[in-house]
Amino acid sequence: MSANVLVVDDSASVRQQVSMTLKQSGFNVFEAEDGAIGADRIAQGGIDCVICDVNMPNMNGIEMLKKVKSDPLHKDLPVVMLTTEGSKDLIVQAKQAGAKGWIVKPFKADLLIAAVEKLAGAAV
Amino acid sequence: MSTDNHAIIAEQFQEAISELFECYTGVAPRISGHNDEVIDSEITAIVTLCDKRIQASASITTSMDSAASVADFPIECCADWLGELANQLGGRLKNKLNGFGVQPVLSTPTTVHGKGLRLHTQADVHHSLRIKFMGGQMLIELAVDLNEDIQLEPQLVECTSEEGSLELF
Repeated sequence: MSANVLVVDDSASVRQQVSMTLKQSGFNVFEAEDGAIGADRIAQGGIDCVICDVNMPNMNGIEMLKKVKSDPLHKDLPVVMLTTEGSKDLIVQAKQAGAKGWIVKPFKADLLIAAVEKLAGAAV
Repeated sequence: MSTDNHAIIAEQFQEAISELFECYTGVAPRISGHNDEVIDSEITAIVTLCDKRIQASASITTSMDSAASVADFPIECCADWLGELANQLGGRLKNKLNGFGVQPVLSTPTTVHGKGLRLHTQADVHHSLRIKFMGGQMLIELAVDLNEDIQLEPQLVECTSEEGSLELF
């Protein structure tokens, strides 16, 4: 059974690029354009792993991460941040908030796939 | 005000451009100073980087075809893609400036459609670069204002992660 991955990013191009990469590796991919829509989609259930931008309108990635982790039903859902931000202080913040990984854009396809295989594979 | 600071920023900006384009096209682009020669352009994306000591605006001006040729995947919306490219360029420059003790905030990119658009600001220093690569060319500009008391110093401790890197916790 293929794992379901949610991609959350306000850039349609990034969502398209990540979706294409993951679909080619056999994952089912869903998309959300900001943290609020992402949180709502996660609440519907059926998501095994999340790839999430940090800087987004409406609700940013760290806020979405905290909201998801506060829900007992989804506290173990793996969330990997995908962002231009490289600040180690911010990475520590995300780790403390419950993120499982951090990728600095532009991503390398093989690393993204390996990360999702490891995290979503563990979840399914 | 020291010109060294502006020279440092110019060097980091050119490195950021070269690295970003090489990530996508596999080859470092040719970068040269731009005169007022007209280039084929239809679209411009702009980002800003600001904190108390530095205010900078960066823009990428190009044609739709050149913008699409940079991507290693089919582009559905050129405006969004160029905005994302500007975002990644701004982010790369921001990370480099973190290494010099500056932590500017990067804005959301803005994309504008139109021919021959140029960045025009009251900034102290303005860099205009022509970028040539396999699929086309771009005009990339950076306008920078620095506070009098700023002195960019390389930090001893690595404070940013590298672009393209993955950390699993």
